[in-house]
Formats: sequence, C-alpha cells, structure tokens
Amino acid sequence: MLQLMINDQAIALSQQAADTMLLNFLREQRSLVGTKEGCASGDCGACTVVMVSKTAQGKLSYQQINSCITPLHSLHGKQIITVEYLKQGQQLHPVQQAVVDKHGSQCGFCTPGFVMSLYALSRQEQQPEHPEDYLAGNLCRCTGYGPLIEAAQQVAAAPATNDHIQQNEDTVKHWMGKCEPLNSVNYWQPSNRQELAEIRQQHPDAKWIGGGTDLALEVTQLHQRIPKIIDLTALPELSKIERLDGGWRIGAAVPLSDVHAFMQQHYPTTDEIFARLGSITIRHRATLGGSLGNASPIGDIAPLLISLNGKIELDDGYSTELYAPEDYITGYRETRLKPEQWISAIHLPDLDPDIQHQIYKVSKRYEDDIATVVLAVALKYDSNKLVSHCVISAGGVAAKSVRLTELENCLLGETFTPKKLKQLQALVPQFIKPIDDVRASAAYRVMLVQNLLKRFYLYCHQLPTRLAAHA
Amino acid sequence: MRKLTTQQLHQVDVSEIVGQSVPHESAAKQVAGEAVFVDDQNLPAGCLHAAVVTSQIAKGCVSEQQLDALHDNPDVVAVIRYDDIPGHQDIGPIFPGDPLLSEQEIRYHQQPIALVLCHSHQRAWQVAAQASQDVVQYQSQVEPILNAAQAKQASNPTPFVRPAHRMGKAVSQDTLKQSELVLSGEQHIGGQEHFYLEGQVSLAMPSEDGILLYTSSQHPSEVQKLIAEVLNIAFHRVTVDMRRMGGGFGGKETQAAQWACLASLAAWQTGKPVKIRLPRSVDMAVTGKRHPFYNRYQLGVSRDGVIESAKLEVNGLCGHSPDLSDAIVDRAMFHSDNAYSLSQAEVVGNRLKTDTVSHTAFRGFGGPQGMMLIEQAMQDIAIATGQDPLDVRYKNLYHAGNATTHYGMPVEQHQDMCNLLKQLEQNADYRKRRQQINQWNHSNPTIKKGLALSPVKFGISFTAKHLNQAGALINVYTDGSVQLNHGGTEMGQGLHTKVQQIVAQTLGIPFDYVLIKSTRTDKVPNTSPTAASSGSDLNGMAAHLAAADIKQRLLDFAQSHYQVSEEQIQFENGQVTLGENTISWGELVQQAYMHRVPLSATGFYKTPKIWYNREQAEGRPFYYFSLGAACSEVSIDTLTGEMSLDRVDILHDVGASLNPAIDIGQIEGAFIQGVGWLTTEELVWNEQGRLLSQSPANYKIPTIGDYPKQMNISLFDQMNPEHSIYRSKAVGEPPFMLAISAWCAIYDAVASISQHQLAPQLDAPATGERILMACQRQFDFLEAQDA
Repeated sequence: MLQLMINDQAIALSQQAADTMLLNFLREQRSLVGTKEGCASGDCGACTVVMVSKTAQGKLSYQQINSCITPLHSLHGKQIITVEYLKQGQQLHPVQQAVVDKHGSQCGFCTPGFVMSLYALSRQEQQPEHPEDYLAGNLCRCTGYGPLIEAAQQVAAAPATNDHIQQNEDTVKHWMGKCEPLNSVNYWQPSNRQELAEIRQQHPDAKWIGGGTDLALEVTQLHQRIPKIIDLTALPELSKIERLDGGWRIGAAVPLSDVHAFMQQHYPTTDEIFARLGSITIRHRATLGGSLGNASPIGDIAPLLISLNGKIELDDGYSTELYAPEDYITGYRETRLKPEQWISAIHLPDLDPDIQHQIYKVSKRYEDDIATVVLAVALKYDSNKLVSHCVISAGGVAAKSVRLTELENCLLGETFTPKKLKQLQALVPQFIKPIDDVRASAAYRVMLVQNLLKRFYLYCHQLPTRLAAHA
Repeated sequence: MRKLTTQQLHQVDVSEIVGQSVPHESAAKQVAGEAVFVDDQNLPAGCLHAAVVTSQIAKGCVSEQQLDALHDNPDVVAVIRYDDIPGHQDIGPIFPGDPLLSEQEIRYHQQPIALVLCHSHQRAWQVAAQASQDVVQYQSQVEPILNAAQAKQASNPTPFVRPAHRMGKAVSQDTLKQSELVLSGEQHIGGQEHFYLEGQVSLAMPSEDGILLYTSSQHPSEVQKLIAEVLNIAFHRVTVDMRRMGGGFGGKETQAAQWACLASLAAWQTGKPVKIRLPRSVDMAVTGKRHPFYNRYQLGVSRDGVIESAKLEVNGLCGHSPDLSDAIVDRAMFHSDNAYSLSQAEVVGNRLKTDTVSHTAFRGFGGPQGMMLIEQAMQDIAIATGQDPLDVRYKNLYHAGNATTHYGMPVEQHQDMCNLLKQLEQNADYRKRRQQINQWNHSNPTIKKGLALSPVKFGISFTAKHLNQAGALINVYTDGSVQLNHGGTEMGQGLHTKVQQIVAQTLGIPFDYVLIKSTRTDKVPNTSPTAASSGSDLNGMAAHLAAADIKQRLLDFAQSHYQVSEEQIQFENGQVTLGENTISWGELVQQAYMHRVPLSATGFYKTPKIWYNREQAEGRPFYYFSLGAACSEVSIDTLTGEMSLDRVDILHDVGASLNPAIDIGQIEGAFIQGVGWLTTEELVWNEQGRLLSQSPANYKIPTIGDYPKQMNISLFDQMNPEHSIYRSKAVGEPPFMLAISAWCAIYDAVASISQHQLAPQLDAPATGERILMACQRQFDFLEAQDA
C-alpha cells in the first residue's frame, strides 16, 4: 500500500502507476484544483505544496516542493498540505491574509504556490535573514514581486504559531509512526542494500530515482512513460552525512537543501553555488546522486567536486567503488555507472585551510538558472609563494564537466603574477572548445573562463569584484 | 526596500469608493485556491481531451496520410484534420493567413497539423507527441527566413506580410546635412514570450443551440465569431464564457482563438465536451510573441544636441502571417518620437515576413520597440555632444511652439511631461547620484555603475477606431443586489475591481452589493478585446452609463412616489435620503419593482475626439497620452557582463487614480516585465527555425531576486484633462516602457569604460553576453587609443 496524508486525510492507495505525479493526483483524483500546473517542469512554482516529514529528532519539518514533478509514491509516509487546507471556515490563514493585504495577487494563478511557500516560511523555526528567498522558486508575471516581498517580510516578522495544522501535529506523527514500508507494484523503496540489489537484479529496466526532479521531466515534458521506478531515499546509508577520517561522506540521497546547510558550515566557499542550484523548492527534493547520475555537462556539482578533490561512491549491494568525478563522467551524459550499480555517496576531504578555493557560476538569470559557465579553482602556495597545489575545473565548456590540467600545469611551481594570468588566459581557447547553444555563444564561454580566472586572481589579491546579491 | 507613495493629493472623501485601494475582487478566493480557472472546472461527463500533432520542420510540406494509422490505437477516440473543417479554414483575425490546421504547406516550426482526441490529457499529448515525430512525413524545402537581413534580401520574393507605411514627408540626406551633426545608429531588439502563468486552454460543450465555450481569452467576441465561421453556423449559436485569465499580456488577444476553435470543432464532430490545454513547452512553441524589431535612425542634430531632422525606420519581424502586425508596427511608428519633438521627421515602418509563429500583441503593442529607437538616440546624442543624457532629453521634449507629433497630433500635456521629469529628477536625487557614480566609476576598474532617467508618453486608444466602443449590462434584483456584466475581461489587471468600484460609486451603494459575472457574449455582444490599456476607460464608462440610467429611473420614481424633489434625494453607502427620511437602497429598489420600474439597463460608450487618416498619416489617433518617467541605476561586472538593478525611482501618471493599489501594481509589474524583456528574456531560434528557448528552464523571466534593491514608486498628481471615467488614465501598458530606463542605465555603465567617448552597441535583450561584448569593444577602443 501507498500511504499518504493529504491535508488531514490519511489515505491508502494500491492502484497508482509508478509515474503518477502528485499534481495530477491532487487535481484529477482528489479534485484539489487549488494547486495549479504552470510549467510541469519545476520552474514556475504554481504547483507548490508543502511536504511534511519527520526529522531525526522526531519533529515535523515543513518544506515546499513542486508537486508537478514529484512522483506520488516517493511521498509514502508523508503529509502533504495543499492551499485548500489553510483557510478555516471563512477565516483566511495569516499567510493568505498577508498576500491580500499587500495586494500580492493579480491574475491569481501563481498565488496558491506563493501562499504555500509563505506557509513553509512561516513554519521555519529560525526565520531566514532574507525571507523573500523562500519565494525564489515561484514565478509571478503580474506583480513584479514587490508586494510578495512585503508579504514574506510580514510573515517572517509574525510566523504562524499554533495554527490548526500545528495543533494536528500529534495525530500526524502518530499516523507516520504507524505507516508500513511502501508495498506497491512497480515502485520500490527498499531500506537495505541487499534488498535493493535483489530488486535491481529482477528489474534491470527500472529507473533509479532520488528526488525525481530531473527524471520526472521525461514524463511531464517528453510525454513518455516510466513503468518501473526504484527509489533510493529509504536507504539509511544514502540519507545521512557522516564524519570519516579526514573528511565527510554525504549520502547520495540527502536533499540538496540539507547538503546546502552542511556545506555552508564546512565548505563556506560553496554557499553561493548551492544557493543558486535550482530553486529552494527544487533543493528540497533534488539530490547529489541525481545530479551526478545524469552527468549533465552543465551540472554545477561535478566541477565543484573536482575542485574539492571529492570522490563518488558507487555501490552494487556487495561492494563499493570510489571514483574521481572526472574519471566517473566519461562523456555527454555518460558515466562509469554499471547497470547493477547506484551512486551511494560523495566523499569530501577536509578543506586544507591554506587552500584558496572559489567557485563561480555565470548564468543568464542569477537565481534558478542553468549555468552558462561554472569555473572552480583550488590553489595553494608553498612557503616560497610558489603554487604547490592547483585544481581548475569547469562546467558548460565541453560535453562533460572537465578538469583543466593544462592550465593547472601552467601554474604549478610558479608564482601567480599578472603575467602568469595573461599566459593562463591565452591558453584557454586551446583547451576548451565549447558550443553555441540556447544559453550563450562559444565565444562568450571562452571569454568567461578567461575572465573568471582573472576574477580568481583578483580575489587572491584581495580585490573585490563581485556584485552584491542582496543590498 | 520598496517605497510607495499612494497618497493622492486631491484626497477623496472616505465615503467614496472610487479612488480607494480596494483589494482585487478575487483576492480572497485566489489566496485560498478557490478562484476557478478553466482547467479547474469540474469535467463534464464524457469529456474528451485534445492534443495537437505539430510540424517538426519550419518550412515545407507534410504528408499526413499516415495519421490514419492512429485510428488503430485503442486510446485514440478521433483524429481531426483540415478536411474535417465545415466552414472557414483560416482564422486570421483581420487579414487571412492563419490556417486552423495545416492543409499541406508548413509555415513555421510546430504548426498544428491535426488534432488527436483521447480520454485523458496525458494520453492525448503522448500520442500527439509521438505522431509528430514518427508518423507524419515531412518534406523540408528551403532554409527558413528568420531575421531582418534575410527577409530584406533582394532575392526574397515575399519580404512583407503587409505593405510598408510612411509617416511624415521624406527627409533627404541634404536636409540631414543642414545640421551641425548627422548621427546614425541601429539596434536589434528581441521579442518576448508572454509567459502568462496559465497556459492556453479551452473547454467546448456541445449544446442544442450550438456551442458553449469556456476559454481564457482577452477577446471573447472574436472567439465567438471565429468558432461560428469555422463551424459554418450563425454567431448566435455560439456562446463564449470567460471568467478570468491567469495572465494575458496580449498573448490571449488573438492567440486564444485557435484552441477555442479546435475544441469547438472537435466537440461539434464528436458530440462530446472537449478540453484542450497546451503543455507549457507547446504553448511557448506554437503561440506568437512580442515582435522582434530591427531599427535604424539618422538624425540631423545641432551642436548642443537638439534634433532638427529625423529619418527613422522600424522593421517588425512579423512571423508567417499578418495577425495584428499592421497595427503593431503602426504603433511602433507612432511611438518612435516618445516624448520628443523630431522636428522634420520621416518614419517608415516595414512588416517583415519570417518563417516563425506569427508574432502578436504584447503589452505596449509595438510602442516599446519604437520608443527604444529614440531612447538609444538620446544616449548616442549625449555621447556625441558630451552632455548628460538627461539634459539632451530636456532639450528635445515637446514644448510650446513645438508640440505636434510627426502624425499631426498636438501634445497638449507637454508641460506636464516636463514637470513630471523635473519632479522625478528631484525625487531621485539625479544630479548628486550622477556625481557619485562618476566617482565610483573613476576608482573601480571592474564594477561599473550606470544611471538613466527616461520619460514615457504613450497614446491611449485603439488605432482601429471602431474598437473604441464598449457595452455593459446591469441587473438590479429586488433585494438590492446588483449583477454587472461588461465587455472587458479580467486577466489580473484589476479591471473588474475598478468597474465594480465605479458602479458602486455611481449607485451610492457599498462595494460588495455589486457582483461582476464572467464576460459572456450572450450578455454583452460585439465587444472589443481587452487590450490597448483601454479596459477601464471603455468598460468603466459603459458600466457607469448603465448605472446612471438605472439611478435616473430610481430618482424619477422616488420623486413621484415619495413626493420629494430631485435635490432632496441622495444615494450614499446603501442608504437613500429622501428629504427628511432615509430608507435603504433595497427598500427603494423593492418599491420601484412594485411600481413596475425596469431594473435592468445597458450602457454604451464610444471614445470621443479620435480620428486618423492613414493615407495622409495624419490625425488624432489617441484620446490622450499617459505619461511617466523612471530613473534606474545599475551595476555591471565588466568581467562577466552580470548586472544588478540597484535602485529604481518611478513617477507615473494615472490621472486621478481609480484604485492606487491596483495602479501601482500595474506600474510595478509592467516595469519588472519590461526589465525582463530588455535583460534576461532571450528568444533563440536555431537555423532550422526551431525555437530553442521553449521552456522556463531556458527562457528566463525575472524572479524575486531580480527585484531592484531599492524601489520607489509614486503617482503623478494630475487629473486627466480629458473627460475620462472619473478623470483617470489608462495604466496597463504605459509603465512597461519605464523599463527602458534600465536598458539606458546599462548603456551608460558600459559607456563609462571609455569615459563616454564611444557609443556602445547594445542590442536587446542586454544579456550578460551582450553586456560583456559591449564592454569588450570599449576596452578595445581604449587600447587602440593608447596605441
């Protein structure tokens, strides 16, 4: 059985296709039409609902997700809150009232999604410094966002406490405690490696899924079917971040929002790249494993891992292997992953405090956009001010994320002078051959790599060059 | 930081409803998920779902015989093709050229070829997507024409979708050369995807009369007409019902009709209700967009920067058919002066035919593209004459003695335009910030700042005169509640809220006594599209006249029934004062009913004063001009071309505001939408004519993070001198063009690299790539200078 709680109703389902998305289920099978389809690709946020899960501490966490690209089965054992649940009788919920008071709705189509992101904001124990960041996964074409920023500020200043949803938490926790493991046809959510390996053996045609934010597009954008899905999120070793000797092991199925919080603390130079990876709504579902499993040439994760000397852990249920990302990715959306293997974790060594590390992303739009170019540099000087360690990696400049060893060699054992920078920049066109595409021209990409090297140089010499994201 | 100045100086009485910031009439429903859009309606029993099979080539022929094979698919209920259309096969709104389904010839990528009907939306689109790829056979002919240069090639036999048009007398090179300076410039301006959040959708129900159609359209009457023509039945057998759109922006003026006609055709053929809803990527690929333009200017300019003669050319890339392009390019021509006197001017407008979707209405309707040309010229003149661009703008503003446009219309509010600019210059602290920015740029080699203050003067009225009419229907029921229908459509702009305020005010009853119903062709017939910013001007006045009619009947009745004089009667807040006595509105209505007073009325309005002789290119096409100005400050990163919008100050003229909150919402939303058009929103077609930017993953409208770091919006305190509804002004489109100030600020930041010696070539949208390339030309210029 697939068990869900939709608002305050616990339901058990047995006859759902593996590729049924939550949005279609809500609208077509539950007549909950307040949640809208704007793009069916997780870009616009009109479909936003709040997912309630139990944390390791036994509390409930409230996170907004894109219902359009969330497979129904992946929500087994969770509560989903839709816009219909907020209003009590004739009384609007305070987050709804805030939108009305600030004139935050015009055509009203994006509005339920904004309301749900505001609701998620209102349920955070610690209010963020910039509450409007909670709305970064919601597009509005009418208001220009001013009134919605004010609504977010109002909600953050007076979060909803003790509303009817919170009052119902004990019931929800009790229900969650009683949920059996998922037992469904053609959608598996195994909780140990051996079981997973067996399922894989029986169903070599099934697709792996983490959060599904990329996989679901095959259904919602390409109009294809995915008959069988194996969900990796119930494996404990894929869902935790652990300390290893001299580094960390990050489970491949940990949602990126949790990875982001961890990285902010332990690898602060990566903060911006995670803050701009998809939207906050996407990051509540997307995973490192998913990003690497698809080996997108423009993924931000692979260049990041290369620059941090990270390793990718693959598992087949019996033994694990570790690969450097540049070895793991073999070509355009091609990897060393064998059919019986899954990505189980990322290993990151502790960052040497003497290493200067920076990662830059340039995209057409600052928030929630695919990178035109990502460039990461890690560099260390020895006592003679000569470069003793250098990793330069890039995304968006080839069919796969690359490590630019020729550029590294140009720097190793040398001093990083303006002349050296010029030399480095001159080498760039020889070693990267990007293409023209919808995002940018090849010429722009080459210039970006050259200029981002300069930005790194200026950074190393304490010359600020960045536009401030928030004033 | 957002600061709004909503205080209206001519303060309205608190008992008045007009002028109050009443929330949107649907706001409480919208936030609760209770506002019903077409796709949210309960599905009627037996409803079929339609999907379109679309062409995978941009130019050539298809052979669709193979589609017969789809009948073998048990999930397919029916396949509908060109031959199944009983009536008109062309749904061109003004001129022919838009086939409902392709007969054989393919004119653009993803042109609809056939309709597939299944029992579910998902299944229909799966079948259609697969059939488009694998079943239909294509024969590509020639490389598609996609840009102005290709269209204008001498070898192209059909360069235009409509003939060229000229305003003003020809200006010769000799005339230009009489000035001290002759400047020339050009610009490519990208189009824009509407990205209404609710995609195109229609639900057709067969009935004993004909068809009842629910749609998301700005133009229900045209949808009604086209359905009737496609089905070859009388107009009265088709009823179109339109409650609300999830955004329109012009993208549902003509572009909603095709899906409405297809759903109706399918319902007609099968006898079942049929719904069609376009998935986002299909919607983006198959519907028309804002026209891309290629513009050129040659100006004769005095040494101190005053335009003495002008030769302007605007070229709209129209796509494969005329659609509304004739009027759109005309509007670009009408606005190529913006707020400036061009003196002796010649403006030529070309309607270039390209092998893409047919481009269409989008907020501003060509006006923004025309205005961009003269605003670039202002920046260029400033560089050529070594002045601050704001001073160049002041020198060229329409002024006494020089206040007639190139199409012969007097600019009566020229002094207000100048006052508005001066007020904004002060509010925004322009001169001081100009100094600070100069200092910043002097000491910062990488991050450069730019500042620009630019005006907007936008003509209000449909340039097709007959469209400037509107109707309304008011029914008063015996409990005193009032139902209102008018010809305008609600797409989020707050039209219904404003009209509701107007009717409540006119009848002297509380706002919530009035209920606005969906826009229906069987309630108010022969309506104009809700477009050209005209919604509240036209429909507000029609509804006011209907309400005034009923009020007069009640006044007449009350005088005779209660034996009081007209001066002793007052309608206010649901109470009617009759000399010494007061009764409720409801009681008066009941008494009137009992005495057989009719409680239903229609209202009709047509805009006065307007006329235009297109042959002479002369007249007064606009009832009045809406005015405004914006001052934008940006920072750019000269290493990457990244840009941030640091501060925006807006002063905008809405006359006496009907609803300041709604008006400011329009101003702010239009401004950000305009910034998207000019910065991150880039339409990209490949050489085969396929739109690559067909999803929000690769077409980037502004997000909340793109909101300016500081935003100050104020309303200009001036009533409309014309007798518009409660002396308000139209607001839908004009503020869109305030965003041109942001583009000018980017231009200014780029030019600062060469200390404003070299005029940047900065095509729109000014993406990071274009900004960086423009910066690079500045660096190269400096290097050449050093050498």
